[in-house]
Amino acid sequence: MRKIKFVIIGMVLLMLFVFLKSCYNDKHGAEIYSKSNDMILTSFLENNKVKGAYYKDTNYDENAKDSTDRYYYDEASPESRTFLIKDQETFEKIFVKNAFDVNFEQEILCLYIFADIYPNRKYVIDNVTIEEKHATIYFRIESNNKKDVAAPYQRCLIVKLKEKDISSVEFIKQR
Amino acid sequence: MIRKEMKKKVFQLIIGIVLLISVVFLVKMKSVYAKTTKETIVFDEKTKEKEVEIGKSEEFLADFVSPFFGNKPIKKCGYIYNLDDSADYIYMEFENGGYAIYAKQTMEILEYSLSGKLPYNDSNEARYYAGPAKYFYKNDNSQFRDAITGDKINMLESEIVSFSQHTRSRIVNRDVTKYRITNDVLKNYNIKTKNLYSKPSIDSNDLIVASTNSACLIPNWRYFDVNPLFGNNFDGGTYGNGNSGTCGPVAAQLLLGYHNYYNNRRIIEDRFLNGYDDVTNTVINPQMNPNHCTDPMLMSRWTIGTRSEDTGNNSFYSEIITRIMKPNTSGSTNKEVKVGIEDYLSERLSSSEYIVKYEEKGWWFGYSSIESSIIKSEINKGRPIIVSMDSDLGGYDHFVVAYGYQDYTYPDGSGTYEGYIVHFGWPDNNCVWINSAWCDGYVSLKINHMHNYDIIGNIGTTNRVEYRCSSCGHRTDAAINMSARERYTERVTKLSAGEYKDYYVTFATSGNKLIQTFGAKDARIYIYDNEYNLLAQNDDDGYSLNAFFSYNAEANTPYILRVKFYNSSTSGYVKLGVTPAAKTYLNYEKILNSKACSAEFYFDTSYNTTNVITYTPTESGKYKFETNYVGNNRIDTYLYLIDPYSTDECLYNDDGAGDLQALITDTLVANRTYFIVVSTYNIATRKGLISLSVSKI
Repeated sequence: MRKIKFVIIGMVLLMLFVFLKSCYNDKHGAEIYSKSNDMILTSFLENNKVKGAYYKDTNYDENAKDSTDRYYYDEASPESRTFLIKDQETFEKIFVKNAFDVNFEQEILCLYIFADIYPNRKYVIDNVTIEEKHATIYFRIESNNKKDVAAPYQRCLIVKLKEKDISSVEFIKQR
Repeated sequence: MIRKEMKKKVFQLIIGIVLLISVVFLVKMKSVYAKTTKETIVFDEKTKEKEVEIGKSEEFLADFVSPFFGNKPIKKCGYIYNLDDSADYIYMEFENGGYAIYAKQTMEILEYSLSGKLPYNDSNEARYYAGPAKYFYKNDNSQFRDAITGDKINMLESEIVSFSQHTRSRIVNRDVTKYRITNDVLKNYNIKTKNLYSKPSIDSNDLIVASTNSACLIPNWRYFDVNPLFGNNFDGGTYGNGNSGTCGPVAAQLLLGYHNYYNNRRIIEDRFLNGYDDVTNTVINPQMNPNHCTDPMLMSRWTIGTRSEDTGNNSFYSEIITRIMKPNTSGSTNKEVKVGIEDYLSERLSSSEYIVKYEEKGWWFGYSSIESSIIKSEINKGRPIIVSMDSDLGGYDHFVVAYGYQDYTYPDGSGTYEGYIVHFGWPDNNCVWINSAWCDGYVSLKINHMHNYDIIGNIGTTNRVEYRCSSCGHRTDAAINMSARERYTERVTKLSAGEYKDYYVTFATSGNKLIQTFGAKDARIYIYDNEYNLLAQNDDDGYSLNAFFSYNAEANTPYILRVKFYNSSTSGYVKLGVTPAAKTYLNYEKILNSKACSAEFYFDTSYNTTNVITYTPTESGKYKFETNYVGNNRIDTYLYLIDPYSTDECLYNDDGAGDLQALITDTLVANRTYFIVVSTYNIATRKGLISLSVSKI
């Protein structure tokens, strides 16, 4: 009976290991903040719109007949925007106060803004590679067994890397 | 001893279950791959390789090329490699466009295109292939490069091996003859085929705007073209009961709104429709409400849409969300949408009045698309259908409403694909083409209701008449509900270029119905059942270029009678005439005709029918048409005189001759063949011998 217990425990641990390995990739100590729009200053978001997203029209009249005029579609902005934040001064221009802790002596932040359609899903990092001070962050969205698309909107991803010596960053979305 | 045996069996069973669960978990996870050895299986060693000169082997060409490409000349062929450098595929490129990719071992065709070009360049760089529409090169550092976009793809060694073995196990290693290219020989072939294997992925920045010109659409596709008001589904919004990701309820709102507008007005009550005031609980803006606007045919975003506030008791959008989604949740499944629609309808209609179905393809060691034949069948029957896409198939995890289908050819040469025309559920995206291969399911709705129209009266100051269904309140200006007593009825409509008019038609009695058009233009008519199966049609068997046919109709069965001009650039008026004629006629000329200045006709009438003749005066002038008794049969009669060249209202008379006999006098044009309907006054209850005299005054 004792033998059976040990075997079962061992199998469960194996399953847990396999499961956890798939969920977390700590390449270069990367941490992803998947739903981070609230961490970004509103003014910064307004000045860094992306193409393919709908935005609220600030001049919208509540008494207007057509409720869809409340939003407009951006076709002029770039498809995405990428920012590298390496110091506190830059941080304060982008993020709200006390958005989160970062030690710029050892870490950097990578901000990626793009049009997304899954507001309730998280993104995970598949891999991070760094070659000649260029970081490539491979990320993908978590799957869901429900159909939960929303109209395209401006979404922000923040990745904190435990690296200092990076001069450029690229985000690559995987399917 | 027995106890020991049992313990051993239990132990083995538990090990087996845990191992099985682990295996399933490993297979399903995307980011975790077990390490394998580098050695990969290329061929099943049991089968023999057969050297075949592809260009010269008649048998090879007959089996694998000609069925798809006819005699099109082969320009180039060669190997394409699986991701682990195994030459698992053969490609062929044809003169003047067209290509095919085969699984080398079985020559199973994986992908082909009538006129497209493979996206590989013409260099000698090795070509890699990972399934339909996934083309790669390999850089010097063994990193893959997308052949179309140039994007770099990083894959772990274990991922490469696993993927390659997985695809090989599905398409290779069968006990069949294998093929090896030994020679390229050019021959002349023709091509005629379509790419059955998709698929480029969807791109929200570049949704494909559908062209409705050459599409197969539901007859009432204009509903989606006008784009009814529907609910918001934006990030940061809270809808219904704390819900988000509401694409399912948006699709359901559109579908139910459609069926309410056309098929049963009891589906959605006034408080959920636009123009309703929540304070007074009345419709204060009738021009926004389909049940109260002046013109029943007014199609605006408000009259065809439904109330779409984010929340609120009288928001139809919010109502549907709460039916489909649990509070404070995001997203929905096909089943939840189906159950939600049923839940709502169960409170509005009896269960026999609607049928809701759904299907969703699940995962079973791979993802598969829903059969397009199911979707197309619904559209062919005139019904829009909710279609679900799946991101694992190249689409989004999203619900849309399909109202047409069409093949689409990608301008970059990716090929031609089957697809649907949909309302995408996003603002201004009401006519989007999606690839059928992206779709994993559907939710369909059929409403079983037969309209029974009453005449309400003229629409505003127009000559058009409003009809309203006595049971559901549906309103239209295009209804023909012929009662048992009705002898002849006509409708006049004005058509724009390319437009057609559908009439909802029922007959209280079964039997022959003579249906034709009148007017100066070339017209066509079609009759369908209520699922748009074509039952009969005609072009020129009527007077001049008018349409004409006899149809044996069933009683109390809805039909759709469509009138349109032959030429899509023609516009103007056309008149439709229907009478339950006692006899059938192949064409207008076969109707009993007289040209005499003076003539007498006798009819032995029967129940539920009329008698028809035609009269062609040889001289223009005034003529008299009068019904008479025959012998002692004092039968009340009725008479119609129709000028076939005109769309003006016909002349008709009941007792103008006195003594229950009809009389019409009119100035006729020489050599024009007039249409005359003569019958008892009440064809449902009276029959017998009657006569008609014609004379020049």
